[in-house]
Amino acid sequence: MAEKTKKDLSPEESILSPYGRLRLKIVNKFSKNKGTKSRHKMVNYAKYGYMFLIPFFVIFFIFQLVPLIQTFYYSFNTYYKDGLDMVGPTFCGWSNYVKMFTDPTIRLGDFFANTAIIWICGFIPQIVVSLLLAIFFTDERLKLKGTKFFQTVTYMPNLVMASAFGMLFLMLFSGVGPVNQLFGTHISFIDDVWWVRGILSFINWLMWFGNTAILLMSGIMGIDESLFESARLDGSSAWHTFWHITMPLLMPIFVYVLITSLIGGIQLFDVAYIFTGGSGGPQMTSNTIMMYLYSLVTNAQDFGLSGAVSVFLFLITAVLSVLVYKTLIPNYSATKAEAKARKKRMNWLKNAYSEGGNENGAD
Amino acid sequence: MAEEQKKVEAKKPVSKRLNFFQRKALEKKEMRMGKRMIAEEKKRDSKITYTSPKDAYVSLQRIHKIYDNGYHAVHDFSIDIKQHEFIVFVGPSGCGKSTTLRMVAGLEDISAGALFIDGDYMNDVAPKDRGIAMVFQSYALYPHLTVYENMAYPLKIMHLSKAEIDKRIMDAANILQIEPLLDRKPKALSGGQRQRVALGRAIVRHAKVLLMDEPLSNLDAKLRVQMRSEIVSLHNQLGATTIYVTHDQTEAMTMASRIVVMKVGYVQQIGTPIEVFQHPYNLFVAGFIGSPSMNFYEADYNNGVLTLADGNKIVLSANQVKLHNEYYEKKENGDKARIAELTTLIAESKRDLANDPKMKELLDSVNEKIANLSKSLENPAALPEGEEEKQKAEIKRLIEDRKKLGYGIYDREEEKAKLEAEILTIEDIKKNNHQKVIMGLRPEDIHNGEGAHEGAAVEVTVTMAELLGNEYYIHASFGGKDTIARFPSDSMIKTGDKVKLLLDLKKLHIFSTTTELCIF
Repeated sequence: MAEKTKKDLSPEESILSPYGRLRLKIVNKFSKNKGTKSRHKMVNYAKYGYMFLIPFFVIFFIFQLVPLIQTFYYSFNTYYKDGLDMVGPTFCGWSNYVKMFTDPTIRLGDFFANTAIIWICGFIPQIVVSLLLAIFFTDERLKLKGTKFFQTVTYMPNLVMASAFGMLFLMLFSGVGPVNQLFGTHISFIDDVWWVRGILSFINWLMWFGNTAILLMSGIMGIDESLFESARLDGSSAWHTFWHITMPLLMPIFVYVLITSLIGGIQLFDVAYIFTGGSGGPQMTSNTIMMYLYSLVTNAQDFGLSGAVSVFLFLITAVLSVLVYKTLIPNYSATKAEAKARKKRMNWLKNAYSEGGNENGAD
Repeated sequence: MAEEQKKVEAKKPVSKRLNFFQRKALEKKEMRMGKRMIAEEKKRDSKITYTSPKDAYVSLQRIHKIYDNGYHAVHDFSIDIKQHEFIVFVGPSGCGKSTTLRMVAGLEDISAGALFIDGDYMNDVAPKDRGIAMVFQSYALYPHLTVYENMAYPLKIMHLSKAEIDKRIMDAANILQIEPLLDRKPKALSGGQRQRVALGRAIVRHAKVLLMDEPLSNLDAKLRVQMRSEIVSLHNQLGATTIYVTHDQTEAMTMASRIVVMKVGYVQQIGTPIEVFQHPYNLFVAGFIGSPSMNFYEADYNNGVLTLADGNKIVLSANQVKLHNEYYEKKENGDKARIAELTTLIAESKRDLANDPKMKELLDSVNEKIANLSKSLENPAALPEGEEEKQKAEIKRLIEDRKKLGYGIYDREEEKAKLEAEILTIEDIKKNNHQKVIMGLRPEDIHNGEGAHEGAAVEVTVTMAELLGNEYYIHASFGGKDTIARFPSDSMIKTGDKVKLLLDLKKLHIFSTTTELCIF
């Protein structure tokens, strides 16, 4: 169809873009009070809000809430596979929990320690490197070139699947792999406790430092530039500015990074599983708590015990997160006791300097 | 239709007309140009030896600021500030006043020129070692620290003893009356209180120079007036040399011991408030200082008589005619001296250029391009449609570029040509005693005819009367322009009323139309 020339358009239409004209046409076609100006009408927008929320709640309910409740339920039941028969579920009280902590064959503490070691070895360099990168990228005075490019490059590893990374590093560090060939060594990396843990930490670091750097960068960019300028005028060194201005103001983002990383660290599974071939490394020294849970469900098929472990993990994660939040945030917004002490000091100062004018006020 | 479209297209900002790659290329080009400009300015600068005058505490000498993209933000800024002076930089936004202040603070590099504080050369000194304190527009209070800690921050860095820190903070808090706020965080303070804390943090350092960057612009009108007087009394109390930046001419007039009026990077006038008000250097200063601003009329000067657009005639006094003639005498001599100076400078720059083959090559290529384009423009009929305008714009751009390069040869040649043309017009004016001028008259110099005032009387119809309480702003059509007069509000005046205006001709100003300078 030939397009209308400008002359054919009504003055109302002539100022609109093609899309605007289309929209006007549709509105005219479907509006109830054609020709007249639409009257002001109360619309209950809330119902649309609920409508958009429905898909999330359906998915959350089916795939998260039901399994969650089920896990809690199973943790209080005897429920496992014996040969080809399923035993249970029959209620057994706290026995799964008792078994979890007392049975010497269940090395929950060891696995937890493995997970923690791998996480910490990855997280500390991650946060240090990310902070440094974030500061370099945001410092106007350094005038770094190609920051956009480096930001993209550092973020890239995060886009690669974790299992792909596990596979890649398994190949690289295999007995006859490229790393050994490059250095002409014959190290059996996957049979050494600290090599395996180290490599797992490294993969974790590589995958997440870019992401963390970008988060911290957005945090630093959110800080008013004039604060840094003011600090410069005050003679604050870069180190002092970092610890006394950047860090406290960055704390909310920093805590967010810490907690998400902590949760991710506790749930470390895919990289470790693929890299160790599901064995958990030499003498299970790199068996993470998640891998243990996985083996409980797939190999032993003890749903009761795995439920109990899951609940324990859930509690640990919650407690640690709250602990991190509570210990880091209050440092910078005074606790009640601190506020009280400060007020007392202020009062003393006021008395010392304003009333008597006694400048040696201390008694 | 197509023509209109084109016009709209041409008016769009450059960034909208270009695609991504073109924009990047332009940015790159600008950066290169900027670097060259800075290098040239530095080279020119290195030949001058700067010394600080004895009585100046802060001395800015021929300061330039050129950004990396070639934007020349501040041109040739010079001022000597005595100790305890209160200097206000005033001008519309984007005039380079804040940039200049930030250069004094050390937050921006000085591209060329010299800065002395207390006789010491300060260009390359770190901000903390310049002995300055600064108040920011956004207050720049650390949100995680209390007021006390905020004020203690610079002192802790100076490694002062606790007793000394306490003493200084309490003294400052006493002066600013913020003692009850010391244990609060900035979030819990009102705008005015934050402003006081920001001032407090600046004064606890006992710095010799206090810099303030639009400190009152975030406050509401009433608080601004209050803080204005408080800052002045604080200045009197502390005696620190103060540089204050504002876009508000009222602040400038009320606070300053001297005002620096700026416009697009150039200093327009430096003087005491009364000087700037009564003897504006040019049209811009006359219009910028004073509220409501000065009324301007196009007028025809003929042997001491001004004829306005609506036929009204104003006869100047003998003294004013004398001033007018003296001005042109002086101006001609000044122009001639400047032309002589420029001629030597251009010769010098040309010698510099001869020693710089790279620059010469570049300039030659630009010149060649201009020549080629002008050649093809001689025959506009042969060009495809729209090409003519494009080429004209290109020539204009190239000429602008050329001015930035070549050690200022083209800049100076342009100035020289302008001055030469000016001398011709001055000779013409002297011979015929006839020229077009701009007449200026302040609203407060137009009185109500019913009051006891003297002056030339004109009867007009009020087009609008704004009552401010104590006074009226009367709008009326006079001299072919909308004129504003300030009348006392003792009699009722309504729109449409006929009133008699008395023009105080003694306070009349006349500006040249070509140079926009004030003749008297």
